[in-house]
Amino acid sequence: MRASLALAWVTLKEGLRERAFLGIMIFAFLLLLASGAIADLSIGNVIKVTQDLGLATVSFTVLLLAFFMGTHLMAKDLDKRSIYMVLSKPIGRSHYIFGKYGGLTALVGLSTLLVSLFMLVTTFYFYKTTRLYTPPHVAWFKLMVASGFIFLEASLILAVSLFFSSFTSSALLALFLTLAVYIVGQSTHQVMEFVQGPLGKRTSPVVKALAKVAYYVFPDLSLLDLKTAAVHDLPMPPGDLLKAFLYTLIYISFLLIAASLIFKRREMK
Amino acid sequence: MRKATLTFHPPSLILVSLLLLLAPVIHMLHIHTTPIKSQTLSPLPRKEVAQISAMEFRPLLSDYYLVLVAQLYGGMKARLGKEEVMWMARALDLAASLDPYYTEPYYFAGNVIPWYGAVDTVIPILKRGIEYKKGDWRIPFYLGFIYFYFKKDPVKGAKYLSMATQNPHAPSYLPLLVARLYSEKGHYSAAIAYLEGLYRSTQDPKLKETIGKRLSALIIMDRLEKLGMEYKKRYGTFPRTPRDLVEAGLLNRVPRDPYGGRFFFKKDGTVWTTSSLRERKRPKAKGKKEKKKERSTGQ
Repeated sequence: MRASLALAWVTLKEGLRERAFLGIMIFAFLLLLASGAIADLSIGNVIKVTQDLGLATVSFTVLLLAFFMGTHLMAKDLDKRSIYMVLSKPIGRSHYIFGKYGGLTALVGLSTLLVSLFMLVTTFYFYKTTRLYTPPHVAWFKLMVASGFIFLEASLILAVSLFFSSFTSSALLALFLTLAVYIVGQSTHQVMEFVQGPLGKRTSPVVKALAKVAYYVFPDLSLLDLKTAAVHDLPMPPGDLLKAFLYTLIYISFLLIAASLIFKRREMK
Repeated sequence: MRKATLTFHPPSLILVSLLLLLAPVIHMLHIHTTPIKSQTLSPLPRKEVAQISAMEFRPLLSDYYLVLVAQLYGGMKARLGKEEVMWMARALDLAASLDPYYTEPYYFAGNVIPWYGAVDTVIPILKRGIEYKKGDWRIPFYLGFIYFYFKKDPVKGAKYLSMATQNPHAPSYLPLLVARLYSEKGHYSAAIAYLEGLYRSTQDPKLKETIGKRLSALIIMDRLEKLGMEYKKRYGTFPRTPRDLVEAGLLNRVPRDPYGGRFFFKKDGTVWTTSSLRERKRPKAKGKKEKKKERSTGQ
């Protein structure tokens, strides 16, 4: 446990020192600053557009970090042979996986916190300064909940990237595989809706079966997308939120256990 | 002291001369190429494709399509043809299906598009809006008016108008407005009553201006139509232009069309305008060739 925590701390520091981290954060802040001007191009409720842009920036930034840091930091350890130094110490391989995941999650969590705070500040600024006939209602708490679920999604993506990194030595391959899981995970719910709806009558049984398999095997990331609900102040039943949270937690645990089992059997060249 | 010498490096020389040769070509192409974007409307994806490929960024894509519509409407008001109106209706449908809780695509679809045609494209969009935005009285109100006025289907119109009045969020003046819609017998009276209500409830200044302009045109046309009836009673025929009304002493002066056209009477006594209630096209700036031709022919 202590070894995993120490490794997590080192990973967090290493991640914070990465230039990519700084670049992604600067990009996020600039985008948030520009959100008011971009929203002004629209008509009517421009604060809704500001909120959409804000939450999309949080999501995009945090996911970008999860994709790149998740695959890059482990591949760097393997590439620079620093993994041997770590594994030569009395640290189990599963501790390495859990420690790495802990550090990366902390890095992503910290970024989510920073970008979300900035998103809330900019939204508040535009909310106060934009002149609309009737000031729109902004569900501040729900915006925070939506940001929290973006962090959960990124944590799941991190677990997926570590899972793929546990058996591939190429960071690029791990990145593409993680990206594929993300795309499938984002679309399965919608595809299932189409397949079960009127469009399903024209769909072949093979495609239907494939969609069903993908729906049950890949993580359903649409469960963690609360952006629309937060922006339109739609109800967020606590029971559903708890179920989505537990679903993610179990999925992450499954992936990390699988990753450490594979990593234990991996031959280091 | 070392003497400075000039050395010739053939590959670099070839590259420099190639660059010098290319520079005027690039400049010529830059000057004479019209941006493709301004020539054509960007193709729109199918709803299902957009919904799947936008993933968790659906609301953002919805905002994007609404911005495109707003920009096209703002920039091309004068040149809005059938193609542009259909494109706007499809883009609004996309925006509404990507974020079905977003109010503005429904408002724009209900307020603006039917006046330019594409009524049938707007109806399913507004029906979807009623499904998702249950607390919004405006969407059934727009749909009711579309059935009532554009589709000439008072039964369906009444269904949606009563749905709007029964909405707990409906303003207090709405039942009166709907009652006026039913009672008005004139050609334009129902539209005037509707637009008056719309003008009061619209917040967006750009849309308010558009509605206000249309409203003032319709008020003039409605008055002209009523005076035309009076003229027919006196002379047995409908007038041909508002000038006939002035000459008959029914009108002080010929009214001005806010859209820049001229009002005229159709054979059945209804009033229409040469502007078709659309912004007048600005004449294109004459090119050098045309000016030269004019000068040479002495025009």
